[in-house]
Amino acid sequence: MAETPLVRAAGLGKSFRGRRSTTQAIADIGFEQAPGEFLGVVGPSGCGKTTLLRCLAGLERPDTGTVEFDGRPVTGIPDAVSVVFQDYHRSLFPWLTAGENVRFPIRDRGRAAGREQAREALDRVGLAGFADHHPFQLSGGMQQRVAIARAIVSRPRFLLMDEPFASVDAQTRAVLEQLTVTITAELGLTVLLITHDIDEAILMADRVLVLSARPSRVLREVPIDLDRPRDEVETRALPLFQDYRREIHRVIANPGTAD
Amino acid sequence: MKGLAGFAALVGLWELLRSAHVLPPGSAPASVDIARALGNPDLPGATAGTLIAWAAGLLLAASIGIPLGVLLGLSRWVDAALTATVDFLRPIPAVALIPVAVVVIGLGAGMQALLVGFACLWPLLISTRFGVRDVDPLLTETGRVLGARGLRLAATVTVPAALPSIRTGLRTAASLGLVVAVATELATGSPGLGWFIAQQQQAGQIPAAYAGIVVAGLLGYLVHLVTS
Amino acid sequence: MKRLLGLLVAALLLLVWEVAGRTGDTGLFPPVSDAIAELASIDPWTDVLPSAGRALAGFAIGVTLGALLGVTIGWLRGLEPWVRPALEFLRAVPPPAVLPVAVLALGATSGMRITVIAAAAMWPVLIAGVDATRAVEPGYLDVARISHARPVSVILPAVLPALIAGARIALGIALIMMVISEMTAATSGLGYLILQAQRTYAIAQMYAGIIVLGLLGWLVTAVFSLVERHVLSWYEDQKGIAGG
Repeated sequence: MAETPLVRAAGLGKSFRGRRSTTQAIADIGFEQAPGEFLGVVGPSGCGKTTLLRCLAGLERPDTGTVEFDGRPVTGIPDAVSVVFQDYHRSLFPWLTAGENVRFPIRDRGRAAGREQAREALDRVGLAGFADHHPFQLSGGMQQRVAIARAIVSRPRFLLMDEPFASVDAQTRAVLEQLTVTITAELGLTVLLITHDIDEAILMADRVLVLSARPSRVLREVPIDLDRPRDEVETRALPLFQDYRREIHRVIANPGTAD
Repeated sequence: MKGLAGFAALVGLWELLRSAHVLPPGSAPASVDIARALGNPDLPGATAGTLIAWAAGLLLAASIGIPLGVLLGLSRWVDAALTATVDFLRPIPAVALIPVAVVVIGLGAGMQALLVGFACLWPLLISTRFGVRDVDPLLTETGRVLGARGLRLAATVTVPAALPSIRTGLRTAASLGLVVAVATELATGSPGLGWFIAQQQQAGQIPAAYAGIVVAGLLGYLVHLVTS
Repeated sequence: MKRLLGLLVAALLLLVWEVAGRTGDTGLFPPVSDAIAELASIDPWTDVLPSAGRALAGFAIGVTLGALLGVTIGWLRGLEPWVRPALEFLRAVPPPAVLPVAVLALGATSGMRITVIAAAAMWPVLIAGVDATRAVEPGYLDVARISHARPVSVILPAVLPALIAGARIALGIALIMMVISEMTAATSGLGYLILQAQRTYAIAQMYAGIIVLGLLGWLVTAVFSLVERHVLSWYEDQKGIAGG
């Protein structure tokens, strides 16, 4: 990688102390991510993907290792980092309208400017005209669009997404995947997408990081050389796509033979 | 364990406020004296008096409130007929009726039970009515398909399904009933903890008055544990 | 139609009261018309307003304190198991039980009455605040942190429905405490008026006092519901959609 990386993680480890036992969520994770790169992270369920994301976002402090963002070590939550959380039910505020939810991260920017930027962000996710709706008046897919709008409204440089499409139906999911790729490309965002869906990772990412089961480490990095724009149906039919899928499945199923 | 430490801290705070004269020593006795006063020979009788008035009132309220609530929940017409009356009676604080009860019934346990019953009636009535009305129509449909009708349907499907809501009402009623029981004793001199506390205060036996408060709190805690 | 039926039944009951009062001779049930006529003897400025003012002041202080303490204790997760049983005990003390001691410590003053009303109104809100704060969706707090917002900016709106439900219970208790505190060691107020009327066998005036109390209770409940509906419109709508 010729460019200086925007994100660099080295030797990340994190354990959680329970009442009786200690669970090691991640063991030793290291990777670099170039500016503008779309990185997919896949792994078996319960493998500590969310813990990794929380460490990268600064929401959780790793026990070992370091995270660097833009050349500086991450200690708190960097300003230019934003997150789309897994479950919109638990991340959108029901007492605010869609517009107010989107405006929440930029609430200090003045009323008029904030409103304008929130409107623009809602436009981008295809929800123009829904600013005054409360989340419970919107469908699941629309709610997750609001969550995406909220994540991009502050114009972050690094967007972390934690299984963002896990709780929507398959049809909506394909639409949202496409929308996410388009928007993040337009804004030149660096994206890290956590997912348990291997196809989703291949369809969206420039490179896929395959994690092992808990305590997780990086099993393999798979660069995805598929042309863009990728298509839900056409791209999936390509032999190369099938090769990637087979490779990643194999690595996850037989972690011992990874290298 | 941690909870006991919390109680110890509460006692410590009390002693601290006392010795710092934040609490006037004349009306805030030492915790040791309060503990000693818990052995007051009149205390068990007073506790029993409050407990009996409370239980009788709650029983009275339940035996009227729950069936009436079921009826209001089932029949739109009965509900409509009684709504205005209920809406007018319900906001009257039960303790405001103490003088009425004294005039009409006279002093005694019956008067006290009636006042407690009046206070407890409303939460029971309202929550039963809502519980019955909120029963999933699918459940009653199923019951009907299985051949249950009328009273049988109400007894086997509707009321059991409304039980969680009725329990909520019972919980509210139980703690409210204790408040009204003590208030009635205070205002009318009926035998019970309220009267015990007032008497001890008038006799200058302040630690005993506090012992009465502690027992009232324990009684309330017990009621809370039993109903939740 | 149904509304009319309800009013008709209420009117019928009043009529029964009136007839019973006119035909009976015990003097305990004066006709309702006498009680209504006696309303004129109740001075809103000296009898009603001081009572209502003390109740509202005590309610406001109690609810504010309860909300602040409840949210704070709920937020300090580690603290909760230590203080919980002590709080549950204090909450369980029937508030009228402390009246004699309050009279002793603070005298038969307005301040004492406001204090006991506040102390009684505080608990339902405090306990609701502790429980609701502990139950705040962790996801909301994550969003607050990632947005560099203070946790309280999401905790307060998230626990507001629970606080208001607690305040509704507190309102009923505040009214009870208002009346009972005026029945013991008082020289003014609605509770005093009712008790005094009973002792002097001014039975019609006693009923008039109770009617005023009922109206007062109805009024504050109605205002409370209005405020609740305004503040929690999102909550009611959401419940409506989830339910239907």
